[in-house]
Amino acid sequence: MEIILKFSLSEYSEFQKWLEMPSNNHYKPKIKAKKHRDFLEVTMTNEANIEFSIFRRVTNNTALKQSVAEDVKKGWWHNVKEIVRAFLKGIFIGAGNEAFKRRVEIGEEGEEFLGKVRDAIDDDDFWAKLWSSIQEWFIDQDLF
Amino acid sequence: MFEKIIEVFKGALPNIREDVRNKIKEEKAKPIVISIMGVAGVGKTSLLNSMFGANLEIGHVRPMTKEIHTIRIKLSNGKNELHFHDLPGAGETLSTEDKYLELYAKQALKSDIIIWAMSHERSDVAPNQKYLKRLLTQLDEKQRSKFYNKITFVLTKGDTLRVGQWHYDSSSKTLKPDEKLNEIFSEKQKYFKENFIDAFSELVETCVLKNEGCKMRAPKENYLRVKNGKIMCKKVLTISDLAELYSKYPNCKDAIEKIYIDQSVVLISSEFKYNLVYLVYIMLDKFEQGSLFRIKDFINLNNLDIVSREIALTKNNIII
Repeated sequence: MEIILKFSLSEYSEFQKWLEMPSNNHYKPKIKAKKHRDFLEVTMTNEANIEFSIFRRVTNNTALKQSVAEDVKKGWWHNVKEIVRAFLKGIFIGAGNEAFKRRVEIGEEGEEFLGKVRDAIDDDDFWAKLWSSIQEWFIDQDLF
Repeated sequence: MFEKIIEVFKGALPNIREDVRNKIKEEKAKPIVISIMGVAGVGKTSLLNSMFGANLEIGHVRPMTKEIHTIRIKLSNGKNELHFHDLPGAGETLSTEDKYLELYAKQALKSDIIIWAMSHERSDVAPNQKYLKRLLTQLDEKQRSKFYNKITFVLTKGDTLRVGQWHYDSSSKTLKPDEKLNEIFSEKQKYFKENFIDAFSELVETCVLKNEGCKMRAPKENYLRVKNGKIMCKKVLTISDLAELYSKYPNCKDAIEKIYIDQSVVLISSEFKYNLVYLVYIMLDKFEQGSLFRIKDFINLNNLDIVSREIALTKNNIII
């Protein structure tokens, strides 16, 4: 599949360097550039675009540092979420926690309700919705 | 039902919050444990020093036990400890009995990270492959996959290649290889990937967090699985796979690209602080839950690629 991308002059020079690498020789015949005033219109294969995009991602240390920092933060909060999720599941399976004690307030349908909750917590979409309602209790910058 | 659940949870949240805080504190207080497989002289100590700001003296490492060399280091930030299991590499253990290999594999399995350090010379492929297979046979099926997917394969001493030149970029204070070196590095990474990742594809299970907006739920591809906000991939992805997956799951492009990147072998230079950020980027997804709470305090991301001009002036083969 061929795609058309707009490159700024500096982006294009970076792309050209990448294209000049012998391992990318096979892409050359399929790549065409048309010069406009402020940019270049480049027709290339989708594969070439993907490989170039990965090359850029792993060789640009500034962007990579940013990605690492974001991934650490994302992973951190994901882990907090999973701990909370495990605790909540524990509450609805085991005893001894305040919420569990409050089950009496749930009413006659209590057991059935708790069963539904256990299943719901395992559902990623439900859990995402639930997390967005309770996350303020856990988002504590001192913690990160 | 949603409102009812929220109401029930709110009664428990203060307790849970305290429990979560305690769990994180507990995890943060633990040392980072790293197992490095690799022969003497491959640059394991230099790698640790440059990644973690440790002050290990090269060549002055004393084994703490007869079977496994464990070194405990207080990091320069003064509060964290790094435990480093220096495990023998291929070639050093040819006469070693299987019981020691089992010990190495199990010790490595308990670590936060396993780094498999090799020289970038092609002659290093066969013995390392053979050794990896021997280690894997010491473990049961479940442990085998866990062990393999914890490994980050690293080619060390990229600065020793004498074919191209390095350029010192004064503004970013980093060293960059020229196009000739870049090309050779890329070929070497590809070659080692074929031999250490493609060749072990039956064990591969790459796990990444979904990116924001990614709605992948039950993918039709039998090698993909989604669970707890993560995508698990049991295939070594090719560029054609990426093209296909991008068009099917355009909102998951970042996560899919990360799977491909994580399935790489990284060529680094500890001396020139080259590709260390890339290495950390790959290692992040290999950490287990608890380990990730610790890593932030262990790595100084800003300094990971910085080489001062004074130091750069002392190196060979550099254009400043």
